[in-house]
Amino acid sequence: MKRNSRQQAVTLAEMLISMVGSTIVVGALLLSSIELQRSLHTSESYAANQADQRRLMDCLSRDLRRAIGVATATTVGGSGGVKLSGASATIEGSTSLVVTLPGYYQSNTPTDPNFDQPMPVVAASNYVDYGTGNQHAPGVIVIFRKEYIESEDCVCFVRLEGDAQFIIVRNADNLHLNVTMDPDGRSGTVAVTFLSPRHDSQTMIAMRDQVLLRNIRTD
Amino acid sequence: MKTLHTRNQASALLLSLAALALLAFTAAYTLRRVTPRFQMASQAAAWQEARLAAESGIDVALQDLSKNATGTTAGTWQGWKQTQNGAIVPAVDNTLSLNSALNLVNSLLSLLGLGNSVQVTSPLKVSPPIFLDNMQTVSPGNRPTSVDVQLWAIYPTPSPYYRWFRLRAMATCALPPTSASIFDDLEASIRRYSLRNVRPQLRKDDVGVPMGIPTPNTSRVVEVLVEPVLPFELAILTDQSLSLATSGSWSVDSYDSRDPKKSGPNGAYPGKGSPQIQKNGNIASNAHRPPDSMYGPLIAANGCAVLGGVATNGGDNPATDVHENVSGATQIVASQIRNDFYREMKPFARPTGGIFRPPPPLGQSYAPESESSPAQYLVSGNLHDFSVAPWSGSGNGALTIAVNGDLDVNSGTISVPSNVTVKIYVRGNIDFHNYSINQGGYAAQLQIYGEETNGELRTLRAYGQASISAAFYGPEYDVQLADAVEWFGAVAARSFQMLGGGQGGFHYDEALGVVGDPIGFRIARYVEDVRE
Repeated sequence: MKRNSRQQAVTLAEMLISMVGSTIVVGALLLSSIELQRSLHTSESYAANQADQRRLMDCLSRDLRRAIGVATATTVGGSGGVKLSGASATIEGSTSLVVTLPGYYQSNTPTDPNFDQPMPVVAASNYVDYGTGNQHAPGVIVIFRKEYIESEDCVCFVRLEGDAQFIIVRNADNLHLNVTMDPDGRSGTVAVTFLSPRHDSQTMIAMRDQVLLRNIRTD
Repeated sequence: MKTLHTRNQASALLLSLAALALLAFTAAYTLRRVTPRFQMASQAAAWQEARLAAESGIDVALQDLSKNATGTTAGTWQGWKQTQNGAIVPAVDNTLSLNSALNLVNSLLSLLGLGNSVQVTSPLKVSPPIFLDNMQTVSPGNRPTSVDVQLWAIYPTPSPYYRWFRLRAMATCALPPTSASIFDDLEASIRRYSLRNVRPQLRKDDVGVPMGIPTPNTSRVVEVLVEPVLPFELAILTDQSLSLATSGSWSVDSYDSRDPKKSGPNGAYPGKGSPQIQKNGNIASNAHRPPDSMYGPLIAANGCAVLGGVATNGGDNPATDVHENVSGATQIVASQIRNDFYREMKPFARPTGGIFRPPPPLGQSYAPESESSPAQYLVSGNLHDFSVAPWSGSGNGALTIAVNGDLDVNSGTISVPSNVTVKIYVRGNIDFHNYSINQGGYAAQLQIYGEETNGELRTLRAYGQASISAAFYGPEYDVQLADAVEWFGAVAARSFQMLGGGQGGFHYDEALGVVGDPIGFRIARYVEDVRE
């Protein structure tokens, strides 16, 4: 089985052919690996965006469902709000959504032991509602806003109720919230969209929830 | 050569295996990150379904309230339970004392207007709850769901005619068994799942037998305050057709006999064109369009002015600016026309408790008793014109007349003293001919109820110059007014038709808005307890 040198050598043509072949195979492998990674990353991104989208929509819908007032405001504290009825608002930049909830809890300070305790029912003005003494409880202002939160070092969607700030979505640059109230002001649509994470895609992925306000609006 | 070949093949195999391993690892890593996010979608769906189930529990309770707490008699509260000395017993077998004088049934009865009038204090008292225990539902996602509903009576309320209730429903929906952990802290803080153990805060709403939905699960709690729907809240309410006057300047408006600024002298109608005239002469119809013609008239306004809202059960095409649901609406403010109305109407039965006296001899007046214990008369035939003696006791007097035949005023009138309220329950037809009824009196003093007729149609008729001051509620009665009839009060009937018109009209007395026994209940306040 002794080899001679002619058998061991590889011709230039053979080498070129094998190199081209190898390049094609390795290249295809590399490309498919990159595409697969990109696709999987897109899937992950998509799933994350969709979870954020759903959470934002559910959180806002839950508040809208029990709201007694819906407005938009550009002030930090939500004062001077403009009643939202028969109109649409995009919650971006300085525009925030101000939802007034019926007063129900004894305290709105999270550290207060009565934070989760409902108020008694009282009669005033010929109707019954939650309150104290002889007065019905005033509405509770809740603000939804998209802003940069320093502690999170990113743009977030936040829900502000009294002193309590609750982050609904982190890294919310790609998430857009639009609220449309019908002309009668008694129902509305919450739409949350994000740009598809697919490479070079311009498709907006939208999710909508139609909400019927259960309470009579007082604003 | 053989060795060389073998070595080459092994290298290729190793290379392929390495590449495959790398890809598999990448895929596994990504799937590991993506799967919990998709699992979150499933958890969120269960969270939504828990809310839907809680609201359906409220709906069931509202239905039972309508069944048991409307009309003139207390219901049986079938299926409802309560805790008594630590044991769960049917709510009907109720002896639990709230205090020495008042138990739950009594409080419900007092709220039904059957007990003594009570003084309003604030905060209000709340009775011990009765409850529906572990109602089982299967959500659209095929997840088992359990609902507990608690009901409290609130008393005393601002009016002896007002009955308010508090309802609280907790629904628990199963999560997928693999939901042992929450991937996202933000998700956890909003949805608050019970993963390994039920959150202790929820136990107080899990009344009766503990619910059997295993963890992981999710619970949501909805609470509502419900107020009664009273029979005379609208000027004209019909279950079917509603047609206003066809001629003259006949119109619909309102006044408030309780308020001197909104009424004439002694609470009377202030007269057309008066500044005291109000714009709450609301009219509505439950009638609906056939399926093959969804848009079109359901109320014939016939050019009459209506100072108030006009509402129908559909019929208005949202794609057009005109209101197809009301024809002849030239004198109705367009923004006052709605098409999202429906109100269930069911006939009242006459009171069954107490002693019914025979009617007084001809020429003598009916004698009232106190409001808390009204005098009751039974007229086995027809009832014609009659008068009522003034009440000489303290407060106001009251009188109930149950008529097995017709109420036929073919001469004279019905006259009611200013300190007496008369309720008439009629099984037959009602005909006022062209005679004035309770003229100069308040509409709330003469309440006429058309009873259940087992499908037979009944009519209420008046014509000529009849001037009627009364409140009528009869879901199986067709009201037919003709010529120049003028009505002060309210009408709730199967149908309403005004043929003719003249200078008069229909004048709703807003004082009727708080009068009468409830015909149903509606949600006055809705909250979701999100902090529990």
